[in-house]
Amino acid sequence: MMNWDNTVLVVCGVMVLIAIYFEYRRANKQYLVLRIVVVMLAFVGLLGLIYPFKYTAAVKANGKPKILLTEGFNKDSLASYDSIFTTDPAVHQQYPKAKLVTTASDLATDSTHLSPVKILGYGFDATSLNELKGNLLSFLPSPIPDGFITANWSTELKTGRAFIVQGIYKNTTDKPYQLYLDGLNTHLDSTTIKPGTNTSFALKTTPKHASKAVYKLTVMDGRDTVESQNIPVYIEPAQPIKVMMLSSSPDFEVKFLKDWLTSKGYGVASRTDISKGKFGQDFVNVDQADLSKLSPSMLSKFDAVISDLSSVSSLSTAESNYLQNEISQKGLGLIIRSDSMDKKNGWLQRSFPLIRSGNAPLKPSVLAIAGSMRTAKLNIAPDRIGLKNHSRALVTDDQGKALTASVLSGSGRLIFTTLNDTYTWALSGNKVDYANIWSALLDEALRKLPLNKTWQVDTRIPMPGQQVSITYEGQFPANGVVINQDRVYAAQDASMPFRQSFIYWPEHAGWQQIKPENGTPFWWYAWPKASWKSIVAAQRIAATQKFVDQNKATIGGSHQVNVKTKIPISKIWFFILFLVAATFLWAESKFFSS
Amino acid sequence: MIEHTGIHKIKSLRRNWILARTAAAVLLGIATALLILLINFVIYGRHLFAPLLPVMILVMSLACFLMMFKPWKLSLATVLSFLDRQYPALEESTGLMFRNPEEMTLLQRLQIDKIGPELSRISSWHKAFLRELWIALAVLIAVVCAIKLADKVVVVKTVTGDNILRPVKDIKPEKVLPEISSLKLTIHPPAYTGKASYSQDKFTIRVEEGSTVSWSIKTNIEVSKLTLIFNDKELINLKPDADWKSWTGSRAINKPGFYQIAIDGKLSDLYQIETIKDAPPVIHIKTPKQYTYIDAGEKPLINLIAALNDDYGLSSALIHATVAKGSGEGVKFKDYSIPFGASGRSSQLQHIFDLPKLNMEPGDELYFYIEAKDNHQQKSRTEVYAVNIQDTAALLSMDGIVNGSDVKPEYFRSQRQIIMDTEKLLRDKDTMSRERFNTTSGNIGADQKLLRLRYGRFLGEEDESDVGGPPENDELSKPENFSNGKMILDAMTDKHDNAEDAGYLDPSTKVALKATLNEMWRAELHLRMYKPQDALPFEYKALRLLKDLQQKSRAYVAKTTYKPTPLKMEKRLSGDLSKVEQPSDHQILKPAIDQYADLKQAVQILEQVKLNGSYAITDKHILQLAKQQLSARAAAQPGIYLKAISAMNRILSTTKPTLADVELVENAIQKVLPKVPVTPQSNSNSPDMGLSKTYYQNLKRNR
Repeated sequence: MMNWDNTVLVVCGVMVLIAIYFEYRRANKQYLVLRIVVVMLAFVGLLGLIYPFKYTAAVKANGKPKILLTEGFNKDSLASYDSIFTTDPAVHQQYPKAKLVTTASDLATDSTHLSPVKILGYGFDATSLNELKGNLLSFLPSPIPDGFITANWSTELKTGRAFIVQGIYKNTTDKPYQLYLDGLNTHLDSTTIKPGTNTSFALKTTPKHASKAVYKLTVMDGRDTVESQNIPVYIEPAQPIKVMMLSSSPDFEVKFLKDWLTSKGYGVASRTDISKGKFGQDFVNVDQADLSKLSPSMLSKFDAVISDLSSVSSLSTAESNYLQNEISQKGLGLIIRSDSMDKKNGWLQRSFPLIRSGNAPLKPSVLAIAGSMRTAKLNIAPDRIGLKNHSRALVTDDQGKALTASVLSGSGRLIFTTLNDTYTWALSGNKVDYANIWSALLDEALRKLPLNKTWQVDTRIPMPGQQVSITYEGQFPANGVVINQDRVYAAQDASMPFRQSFIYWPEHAGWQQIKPENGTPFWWYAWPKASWKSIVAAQRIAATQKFVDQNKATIGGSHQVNVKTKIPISKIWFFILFLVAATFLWAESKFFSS
Repeated sequence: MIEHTGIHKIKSLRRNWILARTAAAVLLGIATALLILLINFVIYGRHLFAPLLPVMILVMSLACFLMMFKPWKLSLATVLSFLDRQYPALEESTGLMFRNPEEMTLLQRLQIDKIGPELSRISSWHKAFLRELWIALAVLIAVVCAIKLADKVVVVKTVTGDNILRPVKDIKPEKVLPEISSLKLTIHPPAYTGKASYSQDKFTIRVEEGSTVSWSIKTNIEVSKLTLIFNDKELINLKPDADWKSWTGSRAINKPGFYQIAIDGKLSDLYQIETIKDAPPVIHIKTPKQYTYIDAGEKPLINLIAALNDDYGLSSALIHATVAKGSGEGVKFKDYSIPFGASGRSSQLQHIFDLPKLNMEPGDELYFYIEAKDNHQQKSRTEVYAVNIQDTAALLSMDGIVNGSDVKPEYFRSQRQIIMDTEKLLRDKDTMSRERFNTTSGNIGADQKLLRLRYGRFLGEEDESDVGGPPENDELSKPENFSNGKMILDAMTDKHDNAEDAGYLDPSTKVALKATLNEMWRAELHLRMYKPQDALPFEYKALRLLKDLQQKSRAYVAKTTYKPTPLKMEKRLSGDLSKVEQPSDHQILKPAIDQYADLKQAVQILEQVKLNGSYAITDKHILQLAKQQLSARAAAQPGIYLKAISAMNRILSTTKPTLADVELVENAIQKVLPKVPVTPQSNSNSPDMGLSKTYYQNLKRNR
């Protein structure tokens, strides 16, 4: 814009100079000075037609409020108003009396006098609201329509993990609805939505397929579909892990755990004490190495170490230091199984005071993993872990006492477990509980993968033709990224250099692909228009309300406006000036130059 | 004049009455007709309404009610008697109105003059007429209300009813290739079913396992080749007739699946094959119980009653019995196979084991089970049942009693003695008089009672030794003890719950003792009724329980301990291990190949189809692989997967499949895919240039 203005000024200036030169060269020098002045005035007029000149004036707010209709307005409330506008063609079609304007800012340019604008309906989204800046606004929101007020789910999911959809459904009718989560044309989970209230729901399923699929959240009234919304699901493939196992004696727990991990193609290196200073070593899916002396380079190859208390305690000082360092500095996880050894002040046990109850026999108990997942009964030793304020229970018994606890140790984690008989599950064919408990423990322990980039779509419900902002964390993509064949460039965050943002307008609904210069593509989803009506309405109402409140704070009270605005001078004056100047120049040469 | 008004009045009364009654009949008729229609509507729904039906029902019900009420039969006499009853002022003289005035006496005329004004005062409508009308009206309103209500209920019912009452497997009319003019499937069920062969004109097959199905297909044009394709892989070429229009072929159907017909390479729809499996025989033993114990004295007979069932028919049944004799290492077994003639679809069979005939003696055991075979040679057998005869000799022996630490020989010998006495009495029964037999039996009963009382004392039961009146108490009759309240109370009251009498027995012993006393009671009862034969089992039971009690009171004392030599700790683990090699093992285990990978990839393509409406030609191969997997499933469960196979075929035949087909296939794939097992997986760090890492490292330092 600035360039355009400058160009206009320069061109005008040059033209004025040329015109003055011609005036000067003119033979008749009778009205020379006057003519030069008039020529300059004519160019000022010309300039004024092109360039918007503005002057500053105090804005006065008066008159009746202008009504700005948005989607969701109530027809009955409009009877007492006469100046009604809208920017939405759909609203105009629905209520033809409303005058259709292209942008909301068109309302303000009508006069120097600002009339208050009253917004009816659900309001605008954030981008459209900016056009209303400087107006005296009030907002009368319509109630949020029936439907999903909120809905949340994890956009990316690891294989084998539960997919959970949670949200709130508003139902003002007097009929109960059925809510289904459908995937691959199958009802996966369902719940009932109570009539006349907001019902919160949580639906759960474990996806069986791989990669991406679109699930559906369907609300049914008997056999009639009330509402159906798409839910994109993206399943990430599982990555193999490497685990080191140290044990002071060969036992079934280690053997079964090793078999279970290796059957999935995971790497396991195990070291078992045979005699003093003698070890049996076993390597599956990992390179063979000498494990009799632990070294930092060896430890850095593994994602977690599973060990019993005795074998960790019997490590040499150097080995112990390597291990501690690897945990706290490099994020390695350590799972320690308790045994008869009880060294209270070792670095391992400081966070896990063990409450032993003598030689009480094993007792069967139901276990709770992560506080909720219930397992079958397992014979457990009577030892319990006393929780400290920085430790967290992972597995508890039927009375809520901790059997397994986890604690942060620098960037890694220490996990202490008193469970030493989980192999009985594997032995009796209870593969589900066995997998659940060891997955829970290993998930907590495994070294976090160093990611070099993450993608996140910030816009809640992206739709075609709407601005979608996407945040990217990682290396700055100098050549931009390709989103659906369009090359898009990033804007870097000033304070956090690893964070960039993109703005994109999807053209069609469905899966959208972001392809960085090198690396795996990222998939996100754009909904068809008119999806999630209630959520969009709720968002708009919230955004508009916030904007109106902020606006009120900057502009002032409801009718007292103490703002000075720049008001453009009407172009007709410049036109008249130009006309008069041109007439003079013409008349002078026609009649007065004798 | 008076007569005239009176007659007029009476006639108008009759008219009104007839009118009211007719109206009531009509209203009730309408109400009934409506009710019948409503019921009809509820049962059959709207579509059974022939236009003439309501009219017919209405006419019939109106006729019925009119015939019932018979308003035209309302005679003047009825009206007159009604008036006489209702209005006392008429003095029962209304009948005079219709007499010929000339024939009337003076008194009668006077009477007419008297009641004339009364009659004219009577209203020509009476409440009684209207009452019928009101009732009829109420019925009609009730029926109309019912219709209004039913309207709502019925509408819902018919809508949902349509969907619920329809059979779950809605058999759509088969799509048959246009070349086929007629079809005859002859099904020969296997011999074991005993069914005659039958035929059908549909391709879908539902037959008994092992049936032979013959196809006889006629085409309307000459065809060069007609093939049946089973489960997408097996081919059967049908044999043509001379005119190449009629084709035949047959195949044995042993497992479910699907097939289609190819006429000159043109494929038909898929048709389902379902088989009905033959179930093995079901055997249910009603008596005896799984473990039966025959006490001494009981009849050594076992009544075996069993019910055998099979879906097509039983061929044979056998009782396999084994008798175990002896004990310890000298056990001998002998097997018996007893035919248990079973036939037909279900049999109620009975067999009585006479144990002595099987050479069984006290202490021996009988094991048996029933095995049944059906026409298809499928066998099934029951669990093993056991019968044990009480060994009285072992019970009566004194082994273990004399050796025990806590000896109570006297008591046991007493119960033993009672048994011996009873057996002797039974032996001598024939040689002694009836009276003597009864007296002896009573005496043994008395002995049994004394024994019971003796044991009862262990339990703190009442001592019945003083039954039959208080004994002479010398102390109490002494003068100095006169009015000694304590002594009188002591002599005259029963002392219950005396802690001293209760004994120091643990609860389980007490329960066992009580059971013993119970058996003694019954033995005594039968002895006193002079039925020693009946008393014998109870005596034996009492003895067995006593013996158990005695066994229980034995104590186990472990042997004295072994004292090991103390370990020298400094010598532990100090051996020379330098020559011990450390084993090291290395192997590569590949994870099992995901056999559902094709299906998972197919889901991807189908999801894409849902979005774009088409798929790339390069993806066709994956869809075909997925179809193969689904076919394998459909061969096992055609009822579930056949539709999906057809849908997959349609998807493969075009690049723009319909959404319904895609959804059908997706649904089937979701069914096939197994649950994904949980596996441990790493989380990831955010790419924050080590920001969070530094945070965590400092977190550790500050603790």
